[in-house]
Order: sequence, then structure tokens, then C-alpha cells
Amino acid sequence: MSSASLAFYRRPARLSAPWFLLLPALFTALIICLPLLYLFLRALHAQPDVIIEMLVRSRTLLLLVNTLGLAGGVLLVTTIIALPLAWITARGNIPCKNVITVMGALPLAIPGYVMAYALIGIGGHYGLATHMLGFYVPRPEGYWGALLALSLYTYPYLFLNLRTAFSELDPRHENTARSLGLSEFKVFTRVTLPHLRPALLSGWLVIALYVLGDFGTVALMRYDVLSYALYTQYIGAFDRTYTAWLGLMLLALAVCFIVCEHYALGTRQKAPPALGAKPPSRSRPLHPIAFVFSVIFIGILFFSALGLPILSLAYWLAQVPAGFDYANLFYSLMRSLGAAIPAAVICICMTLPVMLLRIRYESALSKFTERVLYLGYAVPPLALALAFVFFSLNVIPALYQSVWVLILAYGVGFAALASGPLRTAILQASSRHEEAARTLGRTPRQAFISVTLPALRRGAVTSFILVFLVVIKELPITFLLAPTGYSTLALGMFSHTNEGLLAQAAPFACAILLFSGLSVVILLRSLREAVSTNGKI
Amino acid sequence: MDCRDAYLKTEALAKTFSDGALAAVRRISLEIRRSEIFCLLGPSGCGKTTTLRLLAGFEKPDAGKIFLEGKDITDSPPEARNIGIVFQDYALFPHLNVLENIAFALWSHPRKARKAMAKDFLEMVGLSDFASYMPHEISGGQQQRAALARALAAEPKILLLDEPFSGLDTRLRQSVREETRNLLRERGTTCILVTHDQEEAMSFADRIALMNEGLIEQTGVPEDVYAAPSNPFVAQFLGRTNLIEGLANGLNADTPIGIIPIDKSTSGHVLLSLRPEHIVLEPANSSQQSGILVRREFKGHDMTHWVKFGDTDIQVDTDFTCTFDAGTPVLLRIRKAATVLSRTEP
Repeated sequence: MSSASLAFYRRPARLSAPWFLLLPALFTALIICLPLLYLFLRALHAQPDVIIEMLVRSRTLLLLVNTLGLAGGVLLVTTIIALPLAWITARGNIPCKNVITVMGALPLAIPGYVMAYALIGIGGHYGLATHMLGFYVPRPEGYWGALLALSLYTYPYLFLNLRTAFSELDPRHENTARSLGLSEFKVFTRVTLPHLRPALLSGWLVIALYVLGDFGTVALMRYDVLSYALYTQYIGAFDRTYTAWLGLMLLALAVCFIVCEHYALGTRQKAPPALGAKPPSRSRPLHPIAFVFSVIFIGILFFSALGLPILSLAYWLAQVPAGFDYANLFYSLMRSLGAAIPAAVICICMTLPVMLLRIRYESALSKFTERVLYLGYAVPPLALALAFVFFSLNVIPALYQSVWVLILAYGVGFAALASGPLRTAILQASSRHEEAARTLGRTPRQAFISVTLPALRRGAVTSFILVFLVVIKELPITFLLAPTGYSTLALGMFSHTNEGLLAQAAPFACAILLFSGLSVVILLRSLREAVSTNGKI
Repeated sequence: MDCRDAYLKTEALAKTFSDGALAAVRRISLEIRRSEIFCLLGPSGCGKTTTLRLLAGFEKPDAGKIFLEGKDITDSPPEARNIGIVFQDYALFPHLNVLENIAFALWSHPRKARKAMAKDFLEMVGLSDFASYMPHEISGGQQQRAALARALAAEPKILLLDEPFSGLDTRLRQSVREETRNLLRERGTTCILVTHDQEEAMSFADRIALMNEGLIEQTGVPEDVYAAPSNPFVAQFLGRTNLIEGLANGLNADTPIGIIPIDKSTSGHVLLSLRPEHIVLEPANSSQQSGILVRREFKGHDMTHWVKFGDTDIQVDTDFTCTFDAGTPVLLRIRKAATVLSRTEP
């Protein structure tokens, strides 16, 4: 087919987007951009010489080095864990591969700060290890503590990406390379690895952004990085300008990471699907020694990422004092629910028009609003929360310190999370249905309500649950924006742990684990769904 | 040409898409009569689906006008046109069952009457037993019929069919096509079918229009267009043919295969179309200008023979009675005058 006739198959420009999608989408973009603007305004409040002094302060430099060092370390450790695990579960002849795959994803259910809590609970005078072993085991803290907790929590992001890439790899490419005389090692470095590049890069980006935005883990491990410094600066000092600059630096680093990933990915595209049925990936028998090493590797990994935290939590749960305030736990749960439910609804209301515009009425504007949506997610949560502090103080002082600002900030931070299931649902709901409804006498608005909305119901429910479960365990935004006395599950757990009251924190940690365990189940299910839908398109 | 007024008329419709200098539709002028089954036929990418979308109102034309019953509807939105459509993928609403899908089209009727009316339409297409099924629970052929019933239930002035049979497997296609055609005939529905399948177009439509690169090449009754294509594109798209250069002199032309009759009196260089089935093979006696049978291709119900005259290869279709072997000299007898084609290249 000539390129000329191919041009006809490109989606033609549709009729212009209807107002009932355009206005909400623009409003969403505004809601996301406006607070960030105030972060800039507040930071630029100071005199130029003061700003320069703040930026070149040796402490600033130290924070930058620490932050990048932690991010780099976590990327290295997670790669060392995820790459072999993905290879073994995709290609090795290990028994119970599916179980191992699911277990490999499970640490996602243990949020970074809960992981930190569990690791802290192992050491120390009253810790699990000291108790069991009979001699003093120091508490993990500082760089190594944060590195361990963050790596154990985040490696599944990379693992799931790589696992999918491995199973998508057409074995015929590798077979061709073998038949051209390349050794098995060369095939891996020259055919397999390049294929894994996009998965590796996007996994790294997610993890790097998480480490950048993480606050609970570094705060509990007391490691001095940008976000921890922002937190101490915010609660301890009156110099809001420096706080604002720390927020801006976090934001700048996040943008840097995204740009780096974009350029590293380059313009190379996925290989076109080969013709004919893809032969099943070969499962190759491991060398007996490699087999033993694999089993030991998986054993150690699962013991440290799942076994230890659960043991530690169980140990501290058994130590909960008799006078524990269960009513407080219940109120915290209610407050978590009270913020998470409206936040999830807001996320869907923000995301739906943006995604509909993006998919149905592609234009420069629709691409822009979609990017803004992802920007909200990429902004490190502490920077976002700080932006909302400045924004609400300046624009809507009546709402400052109210739960509405908190909910709105959740909405801005997590709207992008709702986009996945909604995108799948919109793609499945063919625009033909709306067109059919138009020819049967419905106006654009009626057609949208009677045909498109019902088709999006399932996607919206999944999005709701996804956002809801993430908000339930959210810490940094809650920390900065929750009204005084508004203590959620995450806040309760954090403050108890921070004060060394590990036993009192245990019930909170348990409740959080319950919710985040659910969210992982849903994440795994929607991943599978997304794969099957993409396969159809 | 018939003297009845055009029911649907388009004047020089044009539509260019922003992402290319290519005109998807360049200048489409059509006249469709009431109760006619009309077909837009062309290769993929020729602009036929765009034309359909312009008629339905999903796209706005850059230029040109559309008239329905003499009224200008160029700027009307789809819902105000009363033009029905059956999509290639049928587009049944997945959240409604078959009956509700059809009742969806009956919104202008009182709520109570809708169900009974929808049942009548279901019966019309023989789906009464499937009223409560969800669209994904019925077969492709049944989905096609349900979509047809839904479109007809809205009593459209014109029904557009966008490759509605291409999703069905070959054996089913024939019968569904026939049922659909009978139903449309019975109801006297005016209909425009879009397809790339020339056999489907010729067997389904009263008139066909051949489209290529955004233009209509030829319009007419299928038999006429097949027998007398106006240019090489039409001749080749509607079936296999031999394109032969010749020197015309009145109603004959001198060609590499000898002097053959042509369909109109002309003179000078001409390009001719000669269908393989309009030729008969005969044994050659040495005195005449003969060709060599180079290859025979057995195709089951008939055979194609390739005959070489110098540089010119001619294909000839014969039935099972033809028993020439490869390598034999043969003569061609022309059963129908060759068509003189216009020189415009497709």
C-alpha cells in the first residue's frame, strides 16, 4: 500500500469538541496549574541576592547530592532485584511461576513508610531481632535504611514492567540472532536488552519520581534529602521562602527525570508485530547451579520484602498496650475515608473530560490538558502540598486549613491515576456508538449521556477504587494540608512511629496494609485487562 | 437518464483533512433516486467512507452541498437529517440488550408503544427469540440484522450501509446480503452501500458509482459499467481484463492480436479493454496470425489460458471443453466488440 493511501487511514479531524467536555477539561488544567504558579510566585518573593545565597548554600548542595545519591542507589538495587526476577519468572523453568510473579508484586502493598516502620521495628533494644536472637541488633537508619526500605517497596514497579517486556519479546528475534551465529550472551546484550529498554526506562522513571517524592521513609529513617529538609523547614522554621525553593528544587528534579527519560527513550518505536502466530517464548532449563542460586535469591528476596515486614508487624501488634485508644483508630479511619471518597470522585470528574478530549477529539489543546494531568501526578507530593498552602493562603484564605483544600490537592495529585482504567473504557466504547445514536436523533449531549457514559461505568468504578486506595495511605500531602486535629490512618501511624511508639503504631499500620493490599490486587487485575485490550487494538 | 427528480443530491462535495495535502474527497456529485439501491465502489482509501460520513453529517464538507428531497441539509447536524447508518462493526450499544437497542431508535414514540414496535422490527429480521440477549451474546450475522432493524426502526429517509457484510464469513455473507436486499426492496428503502468488493456491488445495487482517489470515475447500471468501462481503472477494478493498444479505423482496430471489432467508430491510436470471457480459443491454421498458448491455469469452475502474441499476453477464460495444451498455436475469436477506453490514467 502506498503512503498516499495510508494517509486516508489516519483518523480524520473530528467535528470540533463539544463545550461540555472542553470547559471541564480546561478547568482541570487550571486547577492543576494555578497552585504551582503560586509556588513560583512565593519563591520569587525574595531579593535576587538572597535567592542566590540560598541556592548555593552548602546545605542545599548536600541535600541535592543526598537526594540524587538515594535515587541512584534505589535504581541500582531495584534493577539488581527486578531484572533477574523478571527473567526467571518469564523464561526460567522454575516451578510455580505465576505464584512467584504475584508474590513479586506484593511488596507494593507495603507502602514505603510502613516498610520503614517494619524495618525499624526489627532492630533496637525492644526490636524483633534483639528479642529473638538475644543480642542487640542496631536499627536501620540513614542512607542504608532508606535505601533498603525504598528498594524493597519500589522494585515491583520495575519487575512488572520487565516481566511484561520479556513476555512480549518475540522469540523469533532471538532465534534469528542465534542462527546468525551470536552466542547466548551476545543475544542477550544485543537483542534482548535493547528490547527491554523502554520498559526499563519507564520503570526507572516511576521509581525515581517516587523516591524524589517520598517523605515518610526518609523522615522515619532520618536521612537528609530534599523532601525531608522541606518537612523540617516547614514545621520548624519561619523562612517560607527557603521552603518554597526546596519545593521548586524538588519540582525541577522531577522535570529533569522526565526529560531525561524522554530523551533516553528517543524516537525508536516498538518493532512492528511480526506476521503469523508468535511462537510461545522458550522456557529454558536452568543450569542446576543457576537453579539453586535462583531459588536462594527468590527466597532471600521474599523473606526480606514480605516475611520480615509481616513478622515485625505481627510482633509489634502483639505488644499493643491494653489501654490502646481504639476509638482514635476508628476516627482516623473515618477521616481517611471521609477524605478519600470525595477525592476519588473529584479525580474522575477531572480526568474523564480530559481523556475523552484526548481520545475522541485529538488536538494540541487536548494533548496539553493530558500532559497537565500527568504533571499533577509527577510533582513531588510535598511540593504540591506546599503549592496548595500558598495558593489557599493567597486566593481562598477562608478555605486554608480546611479539609476541602486537602481533598482538592489529592485530586490534583492523583487524577492521573484514574486515567488508566478510563482510557481503556473509552477506547472500548467505540465512537461509532455515539455516531449511531446521532443518526437515531440524539443531540451530541444526549448521545453522550445515553450511550457513552453507561459504557464508561466499569472503568470509572475501577478508577474510583484505585484512587481511593492510594489516597487512604497517602502521607506527605496529608501531612502538610490536613487541618489541625484531622488525623488520618497514615498520620496516626507516622506520628506514633516518629515518637518511637512502635506498638501504638501497629494497629494503624495493619489497617493501612489492608487497604493497600486491596489496591495491589486491583492494580494487577487492571494491568492484565490493559494488556488484553491493547492486544485487541 | 431517468427523468424522475433526484431524492438525494450532492453537488461537488469536497473534504480535505488537516494532516495532508491529499483530498480524501475531491469533487463528488451524486444523484440518487427514491427507493434506489445505490453503491459506492472503490479500493480502500478512495474516499468512499468519507463520502458516507459527509452524507451522515459526521464530517463537515469543505465545499459543496447536499440536498435531501430538494432541501439543503449541508449544515444540519446528524440528528436532524433522518439518515440512518449501519456501521461495519454494527455499533450495537453494548449496555443495552437487542430489544432495547431497537427501542432506542423509537424515542419519538410514546414510551409504552416502543416495546411492541421494537418487537415488530425484531420479527422483521427474524430475531424475535433473541430480544433479551446482549449484543456480544449473538453471532455476527445476527448483530448485523439487529443493527439493520435498529436503523430501519427510525424510519430513515436514506439508509447508509458501510461495508456491512465484510465482517461476516464468506458462506454467511451471501445469504445475509440476499436477505438484506429483499428486505430493503420490500420496504422501498433508499439505500447507499459502500464496499470495496466489486462482486458484492454488482449483485446488490441498482446502480454503482466507481470511486478512485476522491473522484467518481463512472456511474451506471452494473451490467453497463462492466461491459463498457470508461477508463482503464474502471475496466480493471470491475474484473480481469486485457488492455490492448491498437490503431482504430471506423468500427475496427488493428492490434497485436489482429484486426478486432470495437464498440464505437473512431480513428487513431486507442486503448481497448477486452474481457477474457469475451474471447473464444480456436485451433490455428498456419495461414493466419496466430498466438502461442503459453500457460493454462485451472481454477475449478473454469480455466484461464495465457496466449502470447509477440510482446502481448492475452488472457482467455474458457470452460472445461477447451483442451488445448501449452505450446499449441491458437487463434482468438472475439465474441463482443472491445471497449474503447478514455486515455485518462487512473
